[in-house]
Amino acid sequence: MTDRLVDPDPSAAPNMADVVAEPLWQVRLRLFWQGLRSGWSSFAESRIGLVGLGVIVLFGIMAMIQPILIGTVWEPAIYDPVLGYDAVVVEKTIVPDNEVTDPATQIDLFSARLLDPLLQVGDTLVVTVQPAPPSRQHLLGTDPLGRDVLSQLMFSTRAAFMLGIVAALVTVFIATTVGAVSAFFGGAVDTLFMRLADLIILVPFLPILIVLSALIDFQLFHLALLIGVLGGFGGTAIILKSQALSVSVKPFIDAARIAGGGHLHVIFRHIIPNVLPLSFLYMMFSVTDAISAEATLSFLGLLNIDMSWGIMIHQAWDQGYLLDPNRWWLMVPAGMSVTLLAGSFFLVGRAMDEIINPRLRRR
Amino acid sequence: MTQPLVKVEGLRKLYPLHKGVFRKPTEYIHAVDDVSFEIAPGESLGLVGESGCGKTTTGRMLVRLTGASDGQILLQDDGSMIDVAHVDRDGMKRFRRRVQMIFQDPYESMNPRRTIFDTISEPLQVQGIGTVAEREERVAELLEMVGLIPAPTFMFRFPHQLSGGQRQRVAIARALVIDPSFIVADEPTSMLDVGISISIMELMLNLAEEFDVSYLYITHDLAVARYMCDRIAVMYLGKIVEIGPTEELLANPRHPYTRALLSAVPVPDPSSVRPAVEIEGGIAKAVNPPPQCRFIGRCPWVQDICRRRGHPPLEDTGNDHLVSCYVAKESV
Amino acid sequence: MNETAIERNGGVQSGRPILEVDGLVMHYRTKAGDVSAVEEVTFALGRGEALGLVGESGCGKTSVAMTLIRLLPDNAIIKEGSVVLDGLNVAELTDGEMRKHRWADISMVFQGAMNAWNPVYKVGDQIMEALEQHFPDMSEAEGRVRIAELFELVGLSPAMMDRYPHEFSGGMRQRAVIAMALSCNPKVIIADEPTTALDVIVQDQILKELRKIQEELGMSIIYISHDVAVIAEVSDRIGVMYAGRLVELGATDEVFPRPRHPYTYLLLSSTPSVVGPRRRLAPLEGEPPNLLAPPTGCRFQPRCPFAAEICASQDPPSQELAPGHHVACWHWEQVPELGRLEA
Repeated sequence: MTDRLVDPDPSAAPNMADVVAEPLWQVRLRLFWQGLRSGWSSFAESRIGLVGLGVIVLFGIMAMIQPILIGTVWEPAIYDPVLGYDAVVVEKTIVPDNEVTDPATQIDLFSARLLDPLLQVGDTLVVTVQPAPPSRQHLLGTDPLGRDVLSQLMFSTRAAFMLGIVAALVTVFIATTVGAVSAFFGGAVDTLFMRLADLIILVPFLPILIVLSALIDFQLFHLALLIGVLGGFGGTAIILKSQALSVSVKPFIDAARIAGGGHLHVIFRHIIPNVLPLSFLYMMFSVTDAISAEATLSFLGLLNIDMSWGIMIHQAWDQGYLLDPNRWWLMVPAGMSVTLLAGSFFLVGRAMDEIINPRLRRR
Repeated sequence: MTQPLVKVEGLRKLYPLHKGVFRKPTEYIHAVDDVSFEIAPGESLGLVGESGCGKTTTGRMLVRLTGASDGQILLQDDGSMIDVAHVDRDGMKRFRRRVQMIFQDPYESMNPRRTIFDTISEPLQVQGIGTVAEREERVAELLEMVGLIPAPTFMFRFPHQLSGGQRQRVAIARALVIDPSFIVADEPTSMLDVGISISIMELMLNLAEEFDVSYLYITHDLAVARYMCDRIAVMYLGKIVEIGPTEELLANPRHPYTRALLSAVPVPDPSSVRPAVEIEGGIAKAVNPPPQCRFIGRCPWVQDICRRRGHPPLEDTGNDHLVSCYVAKESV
Repeated sequence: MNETAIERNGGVQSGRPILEVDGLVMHYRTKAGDVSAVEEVTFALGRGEALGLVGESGCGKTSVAMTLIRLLPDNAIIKEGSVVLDGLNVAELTDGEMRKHRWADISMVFQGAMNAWNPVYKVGDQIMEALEQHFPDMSEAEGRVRIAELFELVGLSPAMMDRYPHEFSGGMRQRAVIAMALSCNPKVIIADEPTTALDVIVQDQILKELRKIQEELGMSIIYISHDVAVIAEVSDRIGVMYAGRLVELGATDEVFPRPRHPYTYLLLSSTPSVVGPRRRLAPLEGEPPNLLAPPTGCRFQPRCPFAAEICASQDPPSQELAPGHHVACWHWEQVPELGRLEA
């Protein structure tokens, strides 16, 4: 007498004894796996998501092979991103002053005589070039201190990933908890957290970090934690709270309370699972923010770290090469990497947004 | 008379309206105002009224989703009456085993991220009843009882894989899983198509007998209440204006509001003649209502006595039929 | 009631129907395939007549309405059939041409009056906008006079036209929606669930108002509702839709006491009523079919208690049992009188 589901093949239905025999965790694992697979198939429909993911994987590979290359192909003394040194030697012909047509192979007489006052026009001079342009030994050239740029770039990828992911995890963990607790309890707890969030949004992030960096010796990990905590109590908390709020007024929350569920049960079993998809989305965006923030701070020279994309750009600027088109390799690879990796996490976030939001609406 | 299962006395819910700079509540919405009724074991009471009359608030207070501002809710538990408003932790636990609720919206009353098994077994799980295997058996048994057959195919589905009618069956199974004695059903069929809603109502009636539960059936539809309930209480602006056995109340509606409500219900029979509705206008909000009868502004029968005296008390007119109206009482 | 029904039938003017729908087939193109939303629907609406279309959600009643007024989403295609409105085939008009006829010749009272109004404009101004589009020569003063007339007609105070939607109650908003639908003197009005979100007393008032206006103006109206009781009260004739098909069509006075299609029968016997003896209701088993892949033969066959072999293989043609009473069922003779099929 029912509006039963029209089962295509009733004989295929599992029998009850089997269902009970299968441990619950196994069922849950299977369902989780199924959810993951269907999530992936919707994600795979999004072109921008796949592009973003591709770029992330590419950077991941770069980060992983750098230590391998150092151990095998690259001589550590030359290719170490921080301590390596390689003086690229070039022969240059001396030409009269103001007649230099090709700076890579020619040097003017005045400059040459600064090195050796006996030189004449037409002589050749052996000079070391720092920064050296890309060559077979140094695919992206060397920096002003004679270090390999490609090795630096790949080495810094690891730091960027670490920073982005730690910051994002901290952000999302804090923001989800704060949002859910704030939405569920309301009242004073809510006011406290929300005013704190307003404060964090209002107070300018960068000046505070500048002041803090004068007081504390900033390591990358500290920065990741700081960005994570500020993000977690800040804007993300407000967004996730509004999502938690829309979940917490649903009748299934009432149903859980009538079933006898306490506060923790309701928050962790009902509210947070329904906020998590959005949390993951904002995790992607926090990675973007963290990578950009690190680049900015390193560029300003506020971090006590050995090497990062921001440091690379900082050094290019420090040595006066920042806008020199003839020294593009000092600035462009690092700048591109920051933009690409931050952008690709953003793209993945956008693709997830397209999956998550219509689903939320449909339910 | 046997001891009632549920006894509600002077139940009241006031919502303050905050105004002014200091947000001091100056006005109150009298959502539920001095409501009293009893439900016998195994009996179903229909709470009928238009939107905003306080019927849902009353239901929510009975399951303690909303705290009452005043009044008493007594629930019979093993022969003794427990006061729902003043129970300790242990009493609350017992209360949660005795009282359940079925919600209106089958799409929103289930967590979309939990399986049907999780949803139905939730009361067992949070109250720590049975082992996982026992819960699975119990859920399967209930799924079969509510007509979701074969049970194993439904156990680990998600709500969005089920239709509205099927979800409402799951909601019924969830309400019955801990063997309650009292269920508040808040318009459980109003969002379903006619055919499906009838099968849900049939199911609820059959299971009420089998599980020996009483319903407080909240609905705006007198025809549905007639089908589901032994007695009907009609609410208007937070007050019960008339209460009586279903057929008696429908055959001899005494309160002018009940009469209007009844004559406004369309009848699926073009040959039937419906009396004209005597009242006009829509329902108002009960913000600081005057002491007189709540219905005074719309009443076609209003007389001097109504203006002079307070809201009329519910008085018996015979046949267990109570009405809260000075004029109707006289005409009996 | 009975008397008014006869009066109304008497009021139907003879001659060519105002609206003729013939063999209408409308599909929605989706990624998963074609959804056959309206399949071979044929009916006519007489001048001054009230026709009720009734069915479960997803049966295609709103799709029919949207086809008539040509407010279809982009993925909808009218595959076959014609919709002739007073001699004009609406189904073949371009969108631009249709714009001239919509509201002026055929208008609609939408379900959900809450969302029908833009909250930031006065209600009168929103009606004025519709008037201006169809009567560009009308002055503002004339327009206001017209709106005042309309408001009086639907039982609203003319002063309300300078109010904002949030100042209206649900019932008043629905009245204003009706005024809007009447504003351009349409030949046909479609009322799609006009009272669904309203309380019974207000619903009663609105339905009475609509019936009064229809009689006064001699308007032709199509009511669409999931509620058989509402349709029984307001319609001269009733069309029962199931899974995109019109399964039964006939005078309300004939169909209600003696439904001939099993679906109509079950629909009526599963509707509770406050009058008459309290009887056991027969539940309607199963769920409507998936219109991406409708069942072969009769679409009601998987849920039908009278289904036989022929039902699964061959689609039942529409038969005229009595003048004006059409049924699409192989076994209409087996359908018992109401109240006889009891568990």
